[in-house]
Amino acid sequence: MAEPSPGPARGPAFGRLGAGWGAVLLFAFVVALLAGRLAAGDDPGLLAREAAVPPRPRRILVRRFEIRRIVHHLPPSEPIRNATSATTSAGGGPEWSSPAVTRVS
Amino acid sequence: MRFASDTTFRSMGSEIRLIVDAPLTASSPSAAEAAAREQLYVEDCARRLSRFRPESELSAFNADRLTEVQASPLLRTMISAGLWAARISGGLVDPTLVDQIERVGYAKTREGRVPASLKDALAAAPPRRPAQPDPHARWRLVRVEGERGTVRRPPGVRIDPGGIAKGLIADTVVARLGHYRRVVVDCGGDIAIGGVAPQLEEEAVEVEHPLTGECVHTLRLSGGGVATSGLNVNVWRRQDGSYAHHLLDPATGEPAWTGLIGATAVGRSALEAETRAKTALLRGPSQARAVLAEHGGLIVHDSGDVELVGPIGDTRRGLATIGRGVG
Repeated sequence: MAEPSPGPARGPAFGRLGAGWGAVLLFAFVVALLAGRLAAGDDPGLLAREAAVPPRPRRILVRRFEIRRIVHHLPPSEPIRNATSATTSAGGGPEWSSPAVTRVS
Repeated sequence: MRFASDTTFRSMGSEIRLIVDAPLTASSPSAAEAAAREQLYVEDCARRLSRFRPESELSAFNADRLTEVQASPLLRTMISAGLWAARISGGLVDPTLVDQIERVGYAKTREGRVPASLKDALAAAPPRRPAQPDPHARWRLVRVEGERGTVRRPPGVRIDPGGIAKGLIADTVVARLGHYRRVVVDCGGDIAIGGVAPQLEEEAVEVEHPLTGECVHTLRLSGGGVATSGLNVNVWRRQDGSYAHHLLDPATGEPAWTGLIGATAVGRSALEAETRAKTALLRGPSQARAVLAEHGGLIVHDSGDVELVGPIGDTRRGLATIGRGVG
């Protein structure tokens, strides 16, 4: 009885190739998973660091707005008018003795 | 040798003061001569623009039944100034309230008459509220036709210059004396300042308290104008026992009781200052500060308390001030 001729030695080679592809796919999957978390804002590295540092309290700025009103009460009385007449004055220094006055008329 | 002139006389129912410093050109009349000439000019303006003189140009205009009436440049300018004041005050300073002012008892001049007690008037006055513009705004129907030398308005619409004429005349006199070193024109509290000297050394203007007559603040101005509006001089008692004054709420045609008895305003001109002061008083305490914020001023509350508003310097006496917020 003749022995079957030996075929190509596929078994071990195919297994090595499959393992390699598996590793690549697993790596790609892990990378995609981490990239996805990173994109979602869950950086594992940062989370780990944040977990190590206790959260700082939020600073709240308290403003106090204070209005101070200082009132000097002037006792009401009748109007005091300086009686003036038609005059023309002249001389050196300040040419007029009193400043202009704005008042109700 | 005389260099300056300080002249006081009565006109427009008020005290007028002309302060004129030396001329800057040798050929100009002396300060005293210039002041005398300007006194005549002021008196002429007063005659022509008086609501109380039946022979005045303004009275003739108001009595005219035509829609379009010939008017002199002076009258056209005065009416234009009144319309300008109405526009920038949002209709509060309304020059067409002649019917209303006569109805409340101000048909004739009150010069020389002793005013009623403002304290009593305030005690009897209705609740305080800001004045409002007349919804009919008849001043919008008045047109000054410069090229035709006329003024158009619906028959029956009459013009009352009020304090506007004083501010306008003060500004006009300052402009006429442009070549004098320093000019201060006080038309019954509406003051215009001109000349080059006040720009080098500011002119002091004292603000008088409407009740006590005391100086409550000294303004220092390099030009422009300042004016005061208030109730205390023109207060009277009506036949029904109620009190009235000459500053009307355009919406009601009745005297405005806003919570303020006086307001002083600084402006680029006496006309602007007069308009701002009257607007501030009519708007009442809550809105007056906004009116005076740009150039500064003072308001006097019904209580007599004085409040400084805006950028008017630090020289103050006996004043109420509002502190700044601290954060």
